[in-house]
Order: sequence, then C-alpha cells, then structure tokens
Amino acid sequence: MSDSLVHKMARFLLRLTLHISPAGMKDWGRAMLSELDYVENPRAAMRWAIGCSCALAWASIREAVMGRKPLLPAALSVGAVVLLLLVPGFRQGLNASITSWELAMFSSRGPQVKWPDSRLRALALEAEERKDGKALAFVAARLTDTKASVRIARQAVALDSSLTWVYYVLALRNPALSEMQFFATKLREWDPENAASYLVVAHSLDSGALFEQGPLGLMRKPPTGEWIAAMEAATKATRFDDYLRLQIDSDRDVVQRYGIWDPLLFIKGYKPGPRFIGDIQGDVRNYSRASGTLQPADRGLLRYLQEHGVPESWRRPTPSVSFVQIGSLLMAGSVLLLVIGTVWRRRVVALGLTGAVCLIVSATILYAAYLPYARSFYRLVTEGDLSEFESVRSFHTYGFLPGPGMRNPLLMESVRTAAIILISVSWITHMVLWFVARSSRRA
Amino acid sequence: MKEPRMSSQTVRLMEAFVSDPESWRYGYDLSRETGLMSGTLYPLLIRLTKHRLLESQWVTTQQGTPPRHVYRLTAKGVKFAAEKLKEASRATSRRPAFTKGHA
Repeated sequence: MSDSLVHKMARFLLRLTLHISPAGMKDWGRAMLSELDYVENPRAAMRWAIGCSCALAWASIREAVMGRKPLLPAALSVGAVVLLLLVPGFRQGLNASITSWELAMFSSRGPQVKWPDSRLRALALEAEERKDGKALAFVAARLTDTKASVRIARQAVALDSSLTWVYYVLALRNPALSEMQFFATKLREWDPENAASYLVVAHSLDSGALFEQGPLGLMRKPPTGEWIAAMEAATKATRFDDYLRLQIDSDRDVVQRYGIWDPLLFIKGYKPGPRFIGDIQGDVRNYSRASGTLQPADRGLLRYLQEHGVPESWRRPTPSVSFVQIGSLLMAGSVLLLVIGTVWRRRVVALGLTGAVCLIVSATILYAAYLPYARSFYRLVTEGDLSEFESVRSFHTYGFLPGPGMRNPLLMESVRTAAIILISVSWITHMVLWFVARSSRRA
Repeated sequence: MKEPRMSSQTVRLMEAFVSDPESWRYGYDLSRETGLMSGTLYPLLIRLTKHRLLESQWVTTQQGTPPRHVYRLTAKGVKFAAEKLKEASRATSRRPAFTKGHA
C-alpha cells in the first residue's frame, strides 16, 4: 500500500464520493476503495479514484432521479426559500416584487388604489393611544383616505407643533383639499420665511385649473390673479425648505420604534423628487411668463431650483429591477411546477425537478438583485443618509412597473421571459432524465 | 429482467471471465487485463451482478489489510457469456470486407 501524497489525495476523493453516495452503492464504493490500495503507480491511482468517483456519482444521480417523485429536491428547495424568508432583505424584495404585480394586474386606477391602508390604520390607533405625534404624521403622510389623513395630521400637529410640516406633505399630495387655506395659514405661522406655504397654494390652484377644453382640445388657461399672487409670494420668500430632512428624520424614528421595515410603505410618504422639482420649475416659468417679473435668483425658492438643477428624466429600470420583478413571477411558476411534479404522477418528474431548481435559483436571484436596495434602506433608516434615500426612492418609484394594466409592455415582457425560462429548464431537465432513463434501460 | 446489452466493453470483460471461469477475480486485475478504466469497469460489474450473471464476495488476502471484493461468473453467467461471445465472434466474422481494417 503506497502512502504518497497522490495516493492520499486519490483515497480522499474516493472516500468523499463514497460518503455522499446512496446506501445501495456503499458496498461497491468500498470495493473500489479497497482496490485502490493495490494500484502502485500514483497517476494510475488518481485515474482509478477519478473513474470510480464518476461511476459512483452517476449511479447516485440515477438512483436519485429514476422512478421517484422528486420529494427530496422539492423539500430542499422549499426549505431553502423558507430560510430565505427569515432574511428581512429577501422579504422586502419579495414584497416589492409582488406589490408591483398586484399594482399591474389588479389596480385599474394607479398605485394609490392598492396600498396597505389597514396596516396604517392599526398603526394610527396605536399611535393615538400612545399620543405619539410622529407616528400619526407617518400615517397621515401615507393614508390613501384623504379625510382620515387630514384628521390624523391635525391630531399629530396638536400633539407636537414641530410636526406642522405634515400639512405641506398632505397639501402637495392632495391639491384639491378643502383644508388647503387652513394648511397654508398654519404653515405660514409656523415657518413664515419659507416659500413652501405659498407654493402649495399655487400648486393647488395650478393643478385644478391649468387646462380647459377648447375648440382644438385641451388648452392652457391663462393664470389667475390668485395664482400669480401666490407665486409672487413664493418667489419673494427668503428661503425654501421642502421639509424632506424633517420628514425623513421623523419617519426614521417611527420605523425604528414600531419596527415597520417596509421600504414601499416608507417611500409612499414622499413625492417623487425630480418630478416635484420639475413641477416647481414649470410653475416658476409660467409665473415669469405671466407676470413678466422674477425675483433675483439668490432668493429662497429660485436658489433652491438653481441648486437642484434640471430635473432628472424618468429613469429607465435597471436590470436589477427586472430581476426583482421577474423573480417573484418565476418563484410562483416554480411552485406550480413543483406541485404538479410532486403531487401528480411520476411521468412529470422533470417538471418537479425544474420547479425545485428554478425555485431556489429565482429566489436567490431576487434576493441578490434586491440586496443593494435593502442595504440602502437599512442605512437610510439607521444613519439618515439622504443619498441612500434617493437610491431607495428611485427603485421603488421609477423602477416599478410603470403603470397598471395587463397591456403593459413591460409586464408582458416579464411574463414572456419567465415562461421561456421555465419551459427551457423543463425541457433540459426532461432531456437529462430521458438520457438517464435510456442509459438505465440499456443496462 | 432484460438481458444486458453486449457492448464491446462487456464483451472484453466477459472474455476475461470466460478465460478462467472458476477463479475469483479482483477489480484492479480485471481492469489491467481488459484495459477498461475503473469508471467503465465498475458500472459493468454492477450491471452484470444485478442480472445475476456475476457473483461477488469479500475476501481477506493478508493479515492487516482491508478485505477485497472478488468476482466470478455464475452458472447462468457462464452460459450467457458462452452464447453471447459466440454471437459476437459470428458477427465479427460476417463483417463486410470493405470495413476499416479489412480493406
């Protein structure tokens, strides 16, 4: 018996393969191992070990897949996904993916329809009991029900006047609010030098009466005196603060205290930044056109616009967004195949195996693609870094499936891609099994 | 159970066994005699054993060394090998003259 390094390596390789081979092959594996001691030449010993390992591995695969329902792979894949579900980043990614599909398939009026108001209402009740103004402001900025959100915002400000910024958030989100003047007055009293209180009034007048039906279709209406006055006051104000910093700091505190680690819910409380800046720029342009005058550019609102520059265009979805979106669809398809392959007949074993493999692969891809955003969200909440906010916001607003409806081209493309992947993997698995079965029959 | 397919490797292995049907053979010796690699030899041994054409047992050759697995043809195996080797030799002798090696 030789004890050279190569012999030792050959023995290790064969022992390892023997260790993972099924019970029916153990005796044969031991026979191969015992013969290895009689192979004197090191290279021949290694060849012997490699050949035997391949034979054992092939026999193991054949024994594992032939004539059996893929219960073990199914259990392993489901177990792996259950373990992944314990990871917050994966749960967030899955939630983001599923919500985007819900919005695309079940919502006919846009993203406002299908948001978890029930969860927010439960939070509002808890916050009312605790007299927690920040949590009430968090709810008010996100509720779809405008009346309820106004009531809760007033409660929040009554508890803590430093939360008056919530009126600005609500006024921007709901330009047609009957409480607009009340909100503007309160904002002006709380923060008199800020252009924000005037801007929300102008924004509400603008959004309601910008266009009218003319003989050739929609026509731009001439600005009203009320709108010009509001814009004049906004451009005259010495500073402009959109309260983003205040809102984020308050929301971070609520997320950490109540454990609401949901980036979708978090982002829902913010107006998309570039679009908002674009709106203000448009307002200022219209004002200068209508009035012919503009305040010096060093004043609050104009300086803010200068600093924030030209609004970004709507960003194209990054590949990682597509991976997240296709991820949940692939997972759903995989589970379907898994159920068919394990519950139904042995003939569809390829579908079951495909389901098991694709379930693990798609869950991993979804997690890997979403992980940077999960990290960004975590850093945003724990450290309050505004650059992380932009990253999270851009993913959860611009990255989402743009608009609802089954005719959405991106949606159809995602469905097609997922279907092609599942069919291809099923076919490959079927061919592999066919090959294995054929080689078994030859025996 | 269906008969095992007589590939050229199976024929070589059978020939090795038939040359001395009574004696027990070691796996490594069979590999050297037939020129078959371990990855080819063992699947053949497994198949032939499953078809009860081969019998195997563990034997201790020397004190202090692990036992070795040995193989020989069963009675059914001897009969099967004789038939199949005869068929194989007939097929070889009927090979057309223009095939490779006979031109």
